[in-house]
Amino acid sequence: MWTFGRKLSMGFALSFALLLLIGTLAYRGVDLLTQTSYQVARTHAALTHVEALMSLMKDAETSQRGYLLSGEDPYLEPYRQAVANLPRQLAELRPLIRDNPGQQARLNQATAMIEGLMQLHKERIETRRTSTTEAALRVQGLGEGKRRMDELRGVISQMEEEENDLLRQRAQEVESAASGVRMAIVWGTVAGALLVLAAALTLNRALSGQVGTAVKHVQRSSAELQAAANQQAAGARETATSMTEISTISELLATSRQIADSAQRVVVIAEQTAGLARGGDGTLQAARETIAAMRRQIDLVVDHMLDLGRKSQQIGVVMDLVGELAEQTNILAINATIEATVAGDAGRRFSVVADEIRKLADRMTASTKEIRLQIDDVRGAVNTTVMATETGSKAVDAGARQFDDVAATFAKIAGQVVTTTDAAREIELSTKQQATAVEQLNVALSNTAQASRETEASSGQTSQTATELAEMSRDLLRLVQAQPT
Amino acid sequence: MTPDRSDPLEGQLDEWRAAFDRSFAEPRRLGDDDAVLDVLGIRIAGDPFALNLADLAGLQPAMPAAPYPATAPGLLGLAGHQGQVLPLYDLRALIGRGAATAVRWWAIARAAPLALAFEGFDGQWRLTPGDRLQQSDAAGTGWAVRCGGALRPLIELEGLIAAVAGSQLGEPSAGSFTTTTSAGAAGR
Repeated sequence: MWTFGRKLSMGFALSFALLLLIGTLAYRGVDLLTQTSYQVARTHAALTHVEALMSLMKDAETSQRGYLLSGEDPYLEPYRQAVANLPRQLAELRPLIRDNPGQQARLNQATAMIEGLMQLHKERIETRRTSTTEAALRVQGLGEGKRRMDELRGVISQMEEEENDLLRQRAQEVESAASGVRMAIVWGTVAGALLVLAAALTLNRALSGQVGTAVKHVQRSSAELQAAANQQAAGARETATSMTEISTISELLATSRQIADSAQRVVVIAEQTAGLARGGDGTLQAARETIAAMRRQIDLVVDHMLDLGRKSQQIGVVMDLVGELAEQTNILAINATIEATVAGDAGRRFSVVADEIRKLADRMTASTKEIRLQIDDVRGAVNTTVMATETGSKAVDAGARQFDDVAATFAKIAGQVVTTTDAAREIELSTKQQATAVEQLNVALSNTAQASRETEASSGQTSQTATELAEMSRDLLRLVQAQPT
Repeated sequence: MTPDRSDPLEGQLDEWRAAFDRSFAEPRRLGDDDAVLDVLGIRIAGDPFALNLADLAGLQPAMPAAPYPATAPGLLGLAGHQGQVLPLYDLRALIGRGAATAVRWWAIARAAPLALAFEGFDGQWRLTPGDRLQQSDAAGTGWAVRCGGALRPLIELEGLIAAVAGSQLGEPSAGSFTTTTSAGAAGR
């Protein structure tokens, strides 16, 4: 579909081409007319010169005839003027007929005739001046002059006829050119009128169609723009109201500063904790060495107790031996008593000694049993001690492992404290940045409120402009379309 | 060694030393030898018994007995003692308490060439006549001796030996053994 501008340009281009064609045709016609008028003027000048030439020849003949008759010199005045003017006339006539070879030939013929006649006239005049009139008239036959003059008149008449033919031809050419110009003007005007009419119709249709549609669009867009501007103004008003009502930002700012202060205190506490953790690490190391020394002492005690157990066992073996000896002594004492009893009176003393030996053996047996009990107690105590010590050793090992765990945990705690310190520093820095950001946000919110108020004002202006645009659209629509829709 | 335990032990040691020294210092009491009764405390089937030392010719720890193909009641085999081969009888079976499970001691009888095996040996006591009591329970021999504060039935070996000899001659028996023992003891 062609745009309105393209249609307008096309209409103007066609009009320009038509005007150019009409102008060209008119120019060519005028130029032709001008050329023809120049040629007509030159033909008229040639006719004038031919007639003047004929007139001068008539004056010269008449003058010489009068002189011949009167002999008076004043009659020769026209003759002298003809003699003086004939060459000028001939010279002026020759360029005027330069484009016509036939006329040039006739002019050459006429020039020769003129020169002959003028020579004849000159001879008659000289003759009359030197003789009488009769003699002169006799000498000079008048018929020759008349014949030559008639011939000249014939040639001149031919030349005049030729020029008149040229005039008629020129007149036909002028008529033809004028007719062409008229035709060009008339048909060009008609074509121009038709073109303008078509362009007007087309542009009118385009104006009431495309431009009208566009104007309606503009009108609807103006309405929408007005509604949007009203909404924008309402939104900006609400935004400005909300921005001025926001008081949380200040609280947030105060909270951020409090958090920053707290984070700073946390950093200080974390650094102190890290120092304590480093000191605690040394204490843990010393305690670990103490536990290792305790472990070595416990191992030593266990070794001693095991050695004591072995020695107690050896003592038990020795006590078994002693017990066996005591029992055997007892048996021997009993047998000795028996033997003493058998010996009768002789054996009574021996019986007493044997009884003493038996008593000693009994005591030894009893002591051996008691020692065995005590040794068993010692061995039991040793076993209990060894077991308790091993339990203690295991407990010490477990304690050492737990202590290692505690040390590892303490190291982790120290590392975590360092991490906590770094994190607290980051929190402090972040909170300070946050406070700065909140301040900037506060400023930005103030600016936003100001901008919202300005937006509200701008929206009012936009609404007003949209209203004016709608009115302009209605006016433009009325201008474009005859009947308002 | 803790002090509270060393003091009694040292006191006992001193007492023993004093008694040992006193045995050399005091005069011998040979006049009342008749009143002295030497008994041997033994244990049969867990119960305490006593043997009169005058009935014995020797005491020795038990050794494995040489088996002897005989069916006499209580006969365990043959035992060797100071170059003699003696028949070994189970004292527990002889007093009617059943067969002994493990014998550890042999007592050599003086009245007859035989050995008696019993399970436990508690000690030997030299008693005064006041420690010899007559007891009427059926389990004992009719006499009991107080050894170390406890009463022990006294086994009369003469009756037992006579019973063994009687059984070898075809006489009965455990019941008569008890009666004989009691009669022997009463006669003494």
